[in-house]
Amino acid sequence: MKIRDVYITDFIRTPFSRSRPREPPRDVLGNLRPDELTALTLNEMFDNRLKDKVKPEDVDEFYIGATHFNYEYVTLGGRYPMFLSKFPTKVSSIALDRQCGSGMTCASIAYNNIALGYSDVVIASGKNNATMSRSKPPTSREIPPAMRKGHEFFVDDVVDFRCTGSMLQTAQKLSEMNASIFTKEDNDRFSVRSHQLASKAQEEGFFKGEIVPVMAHSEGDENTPMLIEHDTSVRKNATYEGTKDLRALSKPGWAGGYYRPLMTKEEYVKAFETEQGLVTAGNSCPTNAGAATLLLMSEDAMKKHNLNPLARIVSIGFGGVDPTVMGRGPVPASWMALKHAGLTTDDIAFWEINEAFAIVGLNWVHEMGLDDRLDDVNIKGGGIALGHPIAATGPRIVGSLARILKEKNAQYGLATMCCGGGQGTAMIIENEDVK
Amino acid sequence: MKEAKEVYLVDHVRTPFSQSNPLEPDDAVFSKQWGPELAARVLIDMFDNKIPNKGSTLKRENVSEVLVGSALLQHEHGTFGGRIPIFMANFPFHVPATVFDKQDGSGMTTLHVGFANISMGYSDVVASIGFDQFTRVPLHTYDGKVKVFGWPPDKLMLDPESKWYNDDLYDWKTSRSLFQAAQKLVEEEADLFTKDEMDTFSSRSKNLAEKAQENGYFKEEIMSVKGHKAGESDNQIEIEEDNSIKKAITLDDIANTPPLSTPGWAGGYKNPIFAKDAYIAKFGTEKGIITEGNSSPLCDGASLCLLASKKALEEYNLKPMSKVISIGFAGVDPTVRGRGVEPASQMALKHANLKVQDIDFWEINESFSIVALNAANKLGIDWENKMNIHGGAIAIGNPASATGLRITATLARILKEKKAKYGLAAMSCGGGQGTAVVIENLDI
Repeated sequence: MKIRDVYITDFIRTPFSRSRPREPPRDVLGNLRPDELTALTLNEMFDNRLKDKVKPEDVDEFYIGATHFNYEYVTLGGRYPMFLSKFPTKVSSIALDRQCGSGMTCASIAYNNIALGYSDVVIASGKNNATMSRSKPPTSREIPPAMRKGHEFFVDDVVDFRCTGSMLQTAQKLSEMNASIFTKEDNDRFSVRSHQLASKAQEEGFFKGEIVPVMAHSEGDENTPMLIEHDTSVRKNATYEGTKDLRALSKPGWAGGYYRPLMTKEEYVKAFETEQGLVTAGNSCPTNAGAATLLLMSEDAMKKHNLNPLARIVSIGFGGVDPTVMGRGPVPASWMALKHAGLTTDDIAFWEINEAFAIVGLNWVHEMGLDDRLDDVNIKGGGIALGHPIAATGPRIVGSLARILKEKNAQYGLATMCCGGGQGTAMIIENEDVK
Repeated sequence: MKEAKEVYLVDHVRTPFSQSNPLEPDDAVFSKQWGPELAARVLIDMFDNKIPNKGSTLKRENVSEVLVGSALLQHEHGTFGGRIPIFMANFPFHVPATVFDKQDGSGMTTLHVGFANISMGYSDVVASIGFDQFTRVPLHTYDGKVKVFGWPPDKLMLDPESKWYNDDLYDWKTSRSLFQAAQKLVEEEADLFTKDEMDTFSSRSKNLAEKAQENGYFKEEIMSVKGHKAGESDNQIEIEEDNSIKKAITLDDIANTPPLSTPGWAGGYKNPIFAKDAYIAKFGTEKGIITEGNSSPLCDGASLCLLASKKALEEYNLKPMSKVISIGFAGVDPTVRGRGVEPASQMALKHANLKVQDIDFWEINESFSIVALNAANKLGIDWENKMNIHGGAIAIGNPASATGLRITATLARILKEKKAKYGLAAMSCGGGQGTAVVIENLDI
């Protein structure tokens, strides 16, 4: 069986709104269920953008990614979001969870099925609404077997679930691993860069081409309807001075932040000139509500429906890493995607690395040997500014990257992200206008 | 252009399947086991026992990815993207994971995704796992008597004033009820099957499974798991057999079980096919047709299939059970979800370039007698001789996501046993879907 070419033919997302689990009315999209947000992207794609070209009945499969399936995230195997958009029942669906990489994994699996000839038109979506899910009590108050001392499945001594389960702590530990390479100032400046690039792109109207405005409510007042058109986390006038003194959200290893600390208190203070944790609201991404959707097609389907490609998918990558430093996940995932594409880092014109934390971006840049390529990374800003509606971020960075390659008339791009639980996903795409 | 790689099913293990009982958990022998624990157990048994005992050098660190499926990923079934079960089974951190929900087809979906990743050259060894633990994380069918953790978008879909209203299209009450979806299928196919035929089919399944169990047929695929005695949660015992398989069940026993479904005329689903009189004339009763006797018991359990590329077969000295030829999937009207089997099977046949007559043996999941019978009829399967020949879920039980991997692996064993070449395994999924896979016995 021949492996076929696979194309991204469309990309649309909702605005990303800042989550406010403690004060839900302050999240402008806080009242919209994650499947509703997804359905809004499907409606925009099929009722407006691609109207008269491709119809819901032309779709073979629908993939929806989410980081959990509790409460409003339940999908009945992916059925709810697509049925909200009144899709025909003959469209297959799957819901999947690879934590932050869920949305990108949807696209990866869709790509496989098209490449192998099992499908021609596939939707890959990701969704999140942390205001909604975080306002709820935890679903299980029982201590899981893997964390129960004496239980045959006890693995907490290896997995360090308290650190693994707190993304802030994983970023703290990764910062300590990078003590000799990146200072806290590097992290803060990387974050300011993200806000500056994102607000510039916002001013230039770059995101208009990918955002569907959503009728929701004004900040703080659920009864005042308001059309939300922009990502609400982007800070227009972010400065290093305004970022550097934000309160620490993480706990250093020496103070018990994770098992087997990498540095003593003295070493820590010497390296970072503080005894506080390094991760702040300034150098980490916010949590957000949002949904993003990619449409993938075979070459035949693209011709049949008279659509132009945004990009061709060249290869995918995924990898596992120590979950206590889950931010390293993009490194093996990126190398895997490069290997399968038969490309080197020099071939890649632009990069999108999800800025779950500044240190995740910085660490990846360094481990990939891209220290002098920072100008080609996240050129329209990243998750720190635009926000990170977890499973929606994968489709966003792949879709944005495709648009960047078009804008810059560049050939290859690589998008990658880390996933809670210690994984990474990656995808390489090609702008075929440049050959 | 690159060629797709060949994919092999190399090994299989499953836990015994134990009947779920969320209302009386002590009666369910695995009531103390979390779903992800059951998933970890099949991984551990595979890598600590089965693989080394067969002289293979495959180790945990050689696994390209672990794919996990479960129909209900809520509450304690949260797996952190599939990582929790593999951490518990002591897999090294570099092994990635993903977790899938395609309802009943979740387990078979892990096989589909593994197949695709190996075909594309992205993976060499994939462990596919399906688990469900309906005692601890139950379905939503207990009228509020058990706690559930997934809230469907009912406010949006069921309110005629809502812009998302779609209940006229999808009839959610029926779409979400196992029993009502089966009842509606029975009524739609009233010309083809009587209740007696459904009950007889169940009886066949129970007798075949009982015989297979007596002959020790399932021993090769079942690992022993520590559970407790039914009704005595502190009395630990090794569970070694599927406890849904009951001895000496007669057709009368089956025929006399009370109905679990409501007919269309009595409001069982929207737009009833029969008025009351016509229903009685057709079925000889005014009651629902679906009973405990002609449906599969929900169970707790986990199942694992190991997939490998040709390169991995050679590198780790693995012997294939079967070659995976093709996969199939389809969506259907969720109010008659059982119809998912047929289009999924047709898709898999088309991609295998095979016809129904080329398939020597079939495993069609018996979520309900009517589902298997109807699929056999629509596909034209000689079911009495070629389908579910060692019994099916009606007898063995249905831990939904574990079932897809059980029937695929059992089918591979049947092909070996009968020296037959091609087999097709398929199942229907809640929400209106179907999944299928075609395998080939390479000895022929």
